[in-house]
Amino acid sequence: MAGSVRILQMTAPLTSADSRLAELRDALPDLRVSNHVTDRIAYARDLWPGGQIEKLAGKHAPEPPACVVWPKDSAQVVELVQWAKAKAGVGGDPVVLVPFGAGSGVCGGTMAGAGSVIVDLKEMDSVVRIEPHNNLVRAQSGIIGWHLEDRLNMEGLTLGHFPSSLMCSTLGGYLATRSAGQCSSLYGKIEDMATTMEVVTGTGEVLETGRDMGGGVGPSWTQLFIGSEGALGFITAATLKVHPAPAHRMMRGYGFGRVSAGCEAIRRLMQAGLRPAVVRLYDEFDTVMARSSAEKGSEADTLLDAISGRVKGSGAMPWLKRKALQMVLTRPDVTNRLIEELAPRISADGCLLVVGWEGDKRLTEVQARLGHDELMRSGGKDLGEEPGWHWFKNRYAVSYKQSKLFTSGAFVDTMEVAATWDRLMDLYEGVRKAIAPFAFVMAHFSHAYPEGCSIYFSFVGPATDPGQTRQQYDRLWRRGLTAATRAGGTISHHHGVGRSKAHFMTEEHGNSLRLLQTLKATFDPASILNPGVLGLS
Amino acid sequence: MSVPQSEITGQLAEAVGPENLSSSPVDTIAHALDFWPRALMKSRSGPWPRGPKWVVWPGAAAEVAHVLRIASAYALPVIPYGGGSSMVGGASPRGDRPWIVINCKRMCNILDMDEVSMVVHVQAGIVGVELEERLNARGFSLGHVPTSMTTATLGGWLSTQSAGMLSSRYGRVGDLCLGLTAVLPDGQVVHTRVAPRRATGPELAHLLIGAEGTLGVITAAHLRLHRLPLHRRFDSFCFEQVAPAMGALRQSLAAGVRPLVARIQRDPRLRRSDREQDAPEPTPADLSRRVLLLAYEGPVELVEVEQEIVRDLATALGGEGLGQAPARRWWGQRFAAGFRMTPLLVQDHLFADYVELGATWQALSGLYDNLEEAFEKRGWRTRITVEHARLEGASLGCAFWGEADSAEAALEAYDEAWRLAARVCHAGGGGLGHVYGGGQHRAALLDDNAKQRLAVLTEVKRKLDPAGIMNPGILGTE
Ligand SMILES: Cc1cc2nc3c(=O)[nH]c(=O)nc-3n(C[C@H](O)[C@H](O)[C@H](O)COP(=O)(O)OP(=O)(O)OC[C@H]3O[C@@H](n4cnc5c(N)ncnc54)[C@H](O)[C@@H]3O)c2cc1C
Ligand SMILES: Cc1cc2nc3c(=O)[nH]c(=O)nc-3n(C[C@H](O)[C@H](O)[C@H](O)COP(=O)(O)OP(=O)(O)OC[C@H]3O[C@@H](n4cnc5c(N)ncnc54)[C@H](O)[C@@H]3O)c2cc1C
Repeated sequence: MAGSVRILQMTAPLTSADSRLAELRDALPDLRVSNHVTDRIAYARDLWPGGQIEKLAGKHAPEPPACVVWPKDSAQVVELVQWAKAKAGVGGDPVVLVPFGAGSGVCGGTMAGAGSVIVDLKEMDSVVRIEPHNNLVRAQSGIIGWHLEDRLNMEGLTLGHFPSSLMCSTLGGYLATRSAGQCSSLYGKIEDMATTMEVVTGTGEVLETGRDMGGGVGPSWTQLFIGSEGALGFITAATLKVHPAPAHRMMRGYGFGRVSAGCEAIRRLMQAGLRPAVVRLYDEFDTVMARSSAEKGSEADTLLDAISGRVKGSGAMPWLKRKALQMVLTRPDVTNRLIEELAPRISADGCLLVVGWEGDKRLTEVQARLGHDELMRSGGKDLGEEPGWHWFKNRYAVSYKQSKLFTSGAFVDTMEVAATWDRLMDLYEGVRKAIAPFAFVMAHFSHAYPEGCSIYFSFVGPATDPGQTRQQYDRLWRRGLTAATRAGGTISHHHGVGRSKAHFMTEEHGNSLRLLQTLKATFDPASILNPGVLGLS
Repeated sequence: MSVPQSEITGQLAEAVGPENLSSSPVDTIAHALDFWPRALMKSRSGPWPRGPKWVVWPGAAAEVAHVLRIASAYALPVIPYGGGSSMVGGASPRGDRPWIVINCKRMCNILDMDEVSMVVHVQAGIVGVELEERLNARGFSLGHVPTSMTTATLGGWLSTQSAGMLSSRYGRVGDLCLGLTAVLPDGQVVHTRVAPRRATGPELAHLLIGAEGTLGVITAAHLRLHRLPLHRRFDSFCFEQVAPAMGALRQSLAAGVRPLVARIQRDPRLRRSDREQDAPEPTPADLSRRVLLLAYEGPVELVEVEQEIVRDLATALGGEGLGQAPARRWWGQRFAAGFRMTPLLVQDHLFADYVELGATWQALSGLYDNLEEAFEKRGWRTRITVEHARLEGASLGCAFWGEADSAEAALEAYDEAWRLAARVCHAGGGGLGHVYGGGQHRAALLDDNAKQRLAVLTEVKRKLDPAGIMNPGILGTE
């Protein structure tokens, strides 16, 4: 109880919020709406770690939305847009509508600031139809990924989209952020899956962006709305390709002495015309994380076990754990260097590469065999099936419950960049070096393509002094993303830009940003949709 | 409106160099028509259409930019021109305005070849076959092989989101594009950046891919490549009807097989040139028979398994194995079919064209039958091929031709044939204009959803091209 009282004090009722609510109730009497303080706080943030740091500093919801609404169908979304447009026309306090899926985004994509109207789409969550003969499904965008997959599984089908956040994110969120699942090498990213979508644009128009069978005449509006992060329109439904649920699955682990050797092996695998479902290469430190048991304890425990395990072989003792945490948190730069020094000596297997294959039995088996030969030719050490299945069992262990590290006086975050193969090692080294002074950093390479690969950096930094932490955190991101663009990589492979990376859009896109601005001017001329994301006002 | 033409000529000469500018009839006549059958038919009885006023051959994006700035200043309409193989009038001038044609073919260099990532950076004016040959020489292939390979350019492909005969495996040309350079109507040169994949907003290259030159001129692109295959295999199956052939193909794709080629067509053994001298006339059963032609490539063991899977599925649906020969034979003649239709159009009262529509598998066999029936009822001949097969559906390519009493009647019949095709297509849930784009022709024939999408294009165009200089009249733009 004490906690909630504190929260109430921190977010004193805003009068503008109340008047907005009244207007909204007047204009759209059938729309479910709430300005309850609990809702406003709950929806004030997504899972952007920068926000979690602010929470540690006691700022739970400094800029809460005015209210939350739950439209039932796209007609209500249209009405909402019309209402907001009309408001924008008469001046005064502009209305900002924020498309909201499940708030699992990690870059502040739904944090549009005080007074915004959060439009939670989760009541639009039905599977409209499954067409097994066309290998297609049509679903409303508010459906949780897990539920959609479940429905498909009942028909013997799969979407093949497995982000770690599968249980706490929506189809609309995937499409809006160009999300990637763990089996992207086989099934593609979400942009490879959608054939057409229904969107309600910022002009209130309902547009079907393409056809069930791709193609058509003119530019692909489907591709232009995927990744639009709520800045061009509400994605209200989508048609996606589906596949027969895999009849067979094979997993295996391989060891590589150095990260670069592992990368080279992945490149050759992908360029040989094979299509593994899972490809994940862990750098030296991440390998220890990946192989230790995530089941038995918290992420923090695993991390500390891993660090202290490094120092003393196996079986960490409590004092060593504490020491390790202290070391990480006070001198991340030293820790990083230490690990680098120790890395070659610690693990005989070096870096772990997990490879998985799935689908038709015969196709799976032959590809696994060919892939195995290719990896052995690349100098891999066969570690057998165990490391592969170990990963598989723990693949959703990354929890949407926020990391316990936050309460242990640390912050954690991830940075997922990508580049073509020729730049990949530069990208790896560059970003690593840029982050290392601020946080303890490890990485894995997942989402591989014939022409390149993504790198997923995880980092842990000290969060002892709230004020300073945010500064350090921001500096870390600035340095990291600068290094990424300098190395010729993209600043995001699948988390999106949101607000936290918005000021990097020019580095990312150069002058082609003008095309995006043109889309914004076309689809949201009144600037009522999620201003601020993607660097768009 | 009086346009100071000599002044413009002088400025254009400055932009591209006088040797790369022409108003000579040799050049303007050559750029007056593309491969749109209707315009070709019209020209055989009527006067040769007016060509552009100017043809320019810029050598770089900066020169294209210069030309576009001149065009903007005088509000002159511009056509970006690749190989002129457009089947829909996308590359030919219309009305009697003084057009500038930007012929892109001088921009034909490979700028960079990254063999590690298997990515090529190449200028957009390069002709398809030349690009492919140059890549082959280094052990790579683009995998984009439209029938018009010898004529069409990379810029034309991208602008029409072209689909080649290997699309089941490699996708459309837009799927191969990792980034591009384009000159916008006001002369700004923009580059969309290269990454294997990204999540930093919409994929901006897609605003120009498929825009058919209405938003800008594409001058270069980064394309993903694959290695030239060591193994290629062929296979063929004969079915009593088209539907089980489609079923076998659909199931194979769902199983994860990635054929290089997959098409369903009439039994090639019925072809006059292939028949024995004294063979009996084909029976109706012969005529309804369909053959599934397949090719595979990749590691040999993988190819063998793919072949096995398809064979099992085809056999289960009553397919009779015909072995490699029919598919291999088709492969050998794969470019011959393309321009076969063109001579038809020179004969005065004939009309012909190629309807291409896309549909999901469930809609496909109904569309196939209805289209065939509708055309045959009018006494028009058709040959329908199922091509560009993918997980969720395929295209029907329906070549049609017929003879009328006069040149005018032939044009009328042609228009009627298209209206008919559009009706059948819409009623059956297909999408018209699935391969060749819209050009001057298809926009009016589209269903309401597709028209709405083009209306959106017009909106975007107003923003990027307020003077309306870029290929106005294409895709329903003004
Ligand atoms: C533990 C954890 C693991 C994760 N793992 C992955 C992973 O493996 N792969 C991956 O790609 N991501 C991952 N993410 C990030 C996140 O889950 C994805 O970005 C996801 O796509 C967001 O979906 P959401 O429904 O929660 O969207 P939200 O967070 O609600 O919104 C994200 C953005 O999309 C917009 N948006 C949402 N719905 C719509 C709509 N219907 N129409 C228009 N705009 C909309 C919002 O305005 C916002 O800009 C992870 C996050 C967490 C917390
Ligand atoms: C016999 C024959 C067979 C064919 N087979 C196929 C096939 O198998 N698959 C297929 O997809 N198509 C096919 N086509 C159609 C045609 O070849 C394609 O549409 C091709 O992509 C056009 O390329 P092009 O270079 O000839 O372009 P053009 O005909 O010159 O132009 C086509 C359109 O693109 C625009 N454009 C051209 N270059 C640029 C540029 N650099 N920047 C911006 N806009 C530009 C033009 O303005 C025009 O609107 C065939 C055509 C013929 C005649």
